[in-house]
Amino acid sequence: MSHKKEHRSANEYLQYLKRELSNRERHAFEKGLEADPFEQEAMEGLEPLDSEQAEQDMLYLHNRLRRRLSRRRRVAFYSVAATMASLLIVGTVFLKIHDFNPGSDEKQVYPEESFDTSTPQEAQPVPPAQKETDISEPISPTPERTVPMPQAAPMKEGEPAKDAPKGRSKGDPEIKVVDLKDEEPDETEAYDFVMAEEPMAEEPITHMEAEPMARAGEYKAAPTTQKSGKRKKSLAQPVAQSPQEISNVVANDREVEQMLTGKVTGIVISAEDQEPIPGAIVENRALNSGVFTDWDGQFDIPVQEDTPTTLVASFIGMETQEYQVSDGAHVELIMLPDATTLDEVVVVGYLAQEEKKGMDYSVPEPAIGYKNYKQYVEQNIEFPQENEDLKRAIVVLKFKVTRTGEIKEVVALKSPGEAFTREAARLLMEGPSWNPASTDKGTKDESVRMRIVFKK
Amino acid sequence: MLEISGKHQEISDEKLLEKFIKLGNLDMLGELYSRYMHLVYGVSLKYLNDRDDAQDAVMNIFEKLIDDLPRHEVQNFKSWLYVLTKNHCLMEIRSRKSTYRRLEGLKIEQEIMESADEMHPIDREDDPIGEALKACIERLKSEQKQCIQLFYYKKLCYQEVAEELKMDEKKVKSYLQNGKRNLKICLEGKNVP
Repeated sequence: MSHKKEHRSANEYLQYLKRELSNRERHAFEKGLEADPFEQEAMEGLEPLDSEQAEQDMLYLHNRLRRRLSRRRRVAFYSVAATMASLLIVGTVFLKIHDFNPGSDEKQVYPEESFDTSTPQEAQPVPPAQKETDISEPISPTPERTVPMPQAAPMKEGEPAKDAPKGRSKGDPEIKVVDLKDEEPDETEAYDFVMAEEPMAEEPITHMEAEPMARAGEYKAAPTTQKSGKRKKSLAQPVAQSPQEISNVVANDREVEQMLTGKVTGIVISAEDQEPIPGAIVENRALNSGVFTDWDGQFDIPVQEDTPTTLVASFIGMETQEYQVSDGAHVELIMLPDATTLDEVVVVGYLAQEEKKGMDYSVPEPAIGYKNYKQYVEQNIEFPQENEDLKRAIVVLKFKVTRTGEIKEVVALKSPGEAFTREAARLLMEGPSWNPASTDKGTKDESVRMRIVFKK
Repeated sequence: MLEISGKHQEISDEKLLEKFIKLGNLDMLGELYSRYMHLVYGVSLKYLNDRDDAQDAVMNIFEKLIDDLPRHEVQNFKSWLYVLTKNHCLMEIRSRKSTYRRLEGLKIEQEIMESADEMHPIDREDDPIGEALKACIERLKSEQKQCIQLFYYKKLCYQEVAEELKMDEKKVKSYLQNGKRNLKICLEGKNVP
């Protein structure tokens, strides 16, 4: 039925709430509301807010919606990387199971390879499978690492300049190549392959170089480790060791000279708002060097030429992240907010305050102090009869202490049942008075959360 | 001022909806939703009575739209959204009811509003005010009658009506509401042969 297309926009609402309209306009607006219960109810909801708050909230919501919409793009974009990562994890789990069960075929191989471990396993492709291995099995990371590397195999050279690094590491990247190339890698295949110790590495060498590089470019250096901090550490170490090994053990002159001629440029971006992050640290742990991003989030960092490198980006409040990049690439390092910094309310003793603001600010407190208040609660609390099997229950109340010290708007945020809520509220309402929050300008209304523990 | 309107402003609701459903273009739905987000927020605020919860509800309702829209044939997006919003809020209240008791002054409102599809005769601008309506207005109680006359015929805003009649603005609104309900009952009675 004749729902007119026009509806009152957010701006009109705000103008109305801010009383910027003439009486005539107000009437027209109100008439519109009368004709439409949706809008009428919306106004009933918005009216109690003050207009500044309403404006803020609407802006906030629009930002949230925008973020929601842009997240989807990123999600699509990451999904490839995520799929690969999860497949690798599955693959590794398989590997691990076989590692433990059939006894150590691999371990037997280990000693005969061990002389070869001295061969640097340079900064270059940190094979994801290997990475997972480190994580899932912290007990003996070192031998583990060498296992999947069929290093005993003869080196093959693709291009003479980089033969040393390539030949050495070809065993492990091989796993990666298999996994990467197949969107649906057959884990058992990958596994068999390792078990067989047959480095079918021969021809893939050239692409194993090409693969990670292409990948870094194509997927904007999608982080290879999506979350765990532990993982990063276990990965970082082997990577960091390698350069010394390169110079000490194989000290191939050409290589040492070439080490610093490569360069990666890029930009560090926050996943949250897509804005560049100035002052983030980007490290090339393999070379023990690091740079800060500039005002526009841009950086350039030396890397070893022609070999994929792991860059580590970090910034306060963001999750430290690793990226595989290769020489000459321009990369976008996207950083995710660190979940651990977004902690909830801090619990102080058994009372939790929401926040403290500024120096001259005190939050509401019981007039007799927390300690005595706690005592009061302990002495007066009655465990409701209602529930027999509960031994312990927690009720969280939220209430407002007005500037005059009145307690208002009591709401239970958490409660196992009505009887508990009642009892908690009774304690609060009948209990000692509260001092209002105060600032340098006097007292003010402030909300408080209180946690009450019932024990039998 | 707020910079809220998007780039697709010219496009009608129906077009945006169609594009979303046919192409799965989420930006289209986002644009459409942003036109009504303040209403969804307002209603959620009214029911949930908490800014954070209401904001979450606004985002959850958007997610729900993504799922639900393609599965329903939606004629009138706005009234559909209204129903969805209210249902979402009521579900929310129900689910928290056991653990989240409102103790003071916040009672759960469950009154069902008049159907969104049927506009009250007095709000239909195109219709001339019929004799029947006039007769019914005359039969209203004095406050309701006064409020309706001042608001609809003298075109005063709530505030002015409130000043004129020396009563609270809230009162004015509820007299209007009740007056309209009574009018409707009265009119329906007359139409019955």
